[in-house]
Amino acid sequence: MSADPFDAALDLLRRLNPKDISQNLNSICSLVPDLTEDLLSSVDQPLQVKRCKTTGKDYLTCDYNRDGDSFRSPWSNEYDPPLADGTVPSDAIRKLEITANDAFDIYRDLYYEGGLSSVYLWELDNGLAGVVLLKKVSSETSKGQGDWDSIHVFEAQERGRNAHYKLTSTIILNLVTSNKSIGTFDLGGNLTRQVEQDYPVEDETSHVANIGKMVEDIESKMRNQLQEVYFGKTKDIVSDLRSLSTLSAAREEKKLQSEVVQNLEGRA
Amino acid sequence: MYVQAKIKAASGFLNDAPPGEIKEVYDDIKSIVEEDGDIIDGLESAFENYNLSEFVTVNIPGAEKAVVVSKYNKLGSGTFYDPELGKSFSIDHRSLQASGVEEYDGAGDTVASITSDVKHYVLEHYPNPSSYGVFPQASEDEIAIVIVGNKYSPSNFWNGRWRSSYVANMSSGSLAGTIAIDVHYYEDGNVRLKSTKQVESDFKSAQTSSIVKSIATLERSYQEELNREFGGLSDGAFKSLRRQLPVTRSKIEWGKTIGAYRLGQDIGGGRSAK
Repeated sequence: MSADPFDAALDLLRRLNPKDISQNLNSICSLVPDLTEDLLSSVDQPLQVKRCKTTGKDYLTCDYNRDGDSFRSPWSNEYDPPLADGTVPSDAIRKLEITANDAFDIYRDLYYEGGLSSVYLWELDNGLAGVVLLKKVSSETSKGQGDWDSIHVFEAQERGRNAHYKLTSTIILNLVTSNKSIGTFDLGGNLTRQVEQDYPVEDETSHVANIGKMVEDIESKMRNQLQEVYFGKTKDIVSDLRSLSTLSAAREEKKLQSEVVQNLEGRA
Repeated sequence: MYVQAKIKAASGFLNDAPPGEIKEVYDDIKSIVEEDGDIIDGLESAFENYNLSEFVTVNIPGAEKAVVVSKYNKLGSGTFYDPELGKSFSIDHRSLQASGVEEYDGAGDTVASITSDVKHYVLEHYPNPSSYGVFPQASEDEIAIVIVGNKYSPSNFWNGRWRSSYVANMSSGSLAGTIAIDVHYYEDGNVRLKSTKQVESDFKSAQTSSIVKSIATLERSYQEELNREFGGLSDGAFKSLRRQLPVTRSKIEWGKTIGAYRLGQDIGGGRSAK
C-alpha cells in the first residue's frame, strides 16, 4: 500500500538534511507540480530578507506575505514587485499590524540585540491570525557561524471578553564551523512546538500583548530545548557511536561497581 | 520534466538518507512518484552509491560477521570480497541480499595481521552493530582499512553512524583517511549533524601493529575535538543569537507601555535594527 504523496513528501522532508530543505522542496515540487501550493504553505523554510523600496528598511519574507511572485513590506504595506490588486489587510487590521511590528521590534532588540523582525496579520471570521518572524545571523568567528529563524504562526478566536490563541512555533537553527582542527562541522535543523491558551481581551491591542507573551515564553522554552538537543543529545549520540575509553575497561569498572554494591548489601 | 531529471532528483533524496532510514526514504520516494516504474528502476546506481559510500554491511550466509561494502573491496559491479572470511560474494544493492558466495584467497599474512589488530580495536571502541574490513588494494603497497559503527534508535527518534576509512602505504609508512559522522534527531523536528575531517598520520612500516595505533590516536583526538566543538558552539555562535533574558534580567512588560523600553533605550543609546 502506498502512502498519500503529500504525506510522503512531508515525511521525506522530515528525514532529509534540514539544511537543504528549500532545495529538496523544489525538487519534490518539480517531481509533482500538483503538490507545490500545499507544500509551500505547510513547510517552514529559512526566512529571506528583502529591502522595502519605500522606507529603505529590511523585512522578512515567507509564504504569508507572498502574493504570486511579490512580497508585502510590513513597513509600507506595499508589494514588491508592485501589484495592482495584491491582498492587503483591512484598515483596522493594518493598524494593529503596525502596532505589532513596533512591539516585536522592541522584543527583537531586547532578546536578539540585532537581527530583523516582521509581523503579518490577516482577518479570520471570528478573530484574527498572523505570523511573527525573527531572524538573526551571527557574524563568522573562529567559534563558528550561526543562523536563527523563528516562525510563529498564530490564530486568535474571540470568545466574549476572552480570546483563544493557538500558536505553532518553528525555530530553524543552523550552526557551522569549518577549520583545520575540526574539519567541517555542520549542525542544523528545526524544532516545532504548539501551544494553546486563553487570555482576556480589552481591546484590539490586547492581542499584541497576548501574542507577545506567548511568543516570549515559547521562544525561551525552545531555546532551552535547542540547547539540549544540539549540544546534549547529539553529543551523547556521538559518544554512543564510539566509546572514548575501551569497552573492556568500562566493563571492568561496571563489574567492580557491582562487586562493591554486593559487598555493601552482604554487610547490611 | 524528463524521466532522467526525475531520476536525478529522486537519487539525490536517496543519497541523503540518514543512517538507518534508507528504507523509509525509498518508501517516501515511491509514494511521491506514485510508483512510476521508470523512475524507480532508474534508482539502481543511487542505491549502489549509497551502499558504497555509507559502508553498508551485508550478512553473508554462514559468516560470523556482517561484511562492509565499500569501493575498497569491490571486485566488479555488485561483487565484493572480504579477506578475513576468505569469500567473495554478490549483492543486490536494493535488497542487500548476498548471493554467489565463493572462496576468495588473495590476501597474505600482513593483511591477516592488520585485520586482527583492527578487529580488537573495533571491539574495544565501537559498542554497537559495527563492522570493519582490511582490504589489499590494486597498488601492491596499499592496504585499505574501513570502520563503521551504527546505532539506530528509531523509537527514540534518532539514528547515528560513524564511518572511517584509511589507506596505508606500506612502503612509505604514511596513512591518510577520512572520518565522517552523521547523526539524525527527529522528535518534533529534524536536526542533523554532519561532520567530516581528512586525517593523516605516519606509522612504522616495518611494524604492522603501529597502523592501528595511529588510527586509534587519530580517532581519539578527533572525538575529543568534536566534544570541544559542541561546547564551543554552545558558548559561542549559539549564545550570540538570542539571549536567555533581556539585559534587564526580567521578562518584557507587554501592553500599552511597551514603548517605554524604546524611550529608555534612546536615553541609554541602545542598538537599533540594521
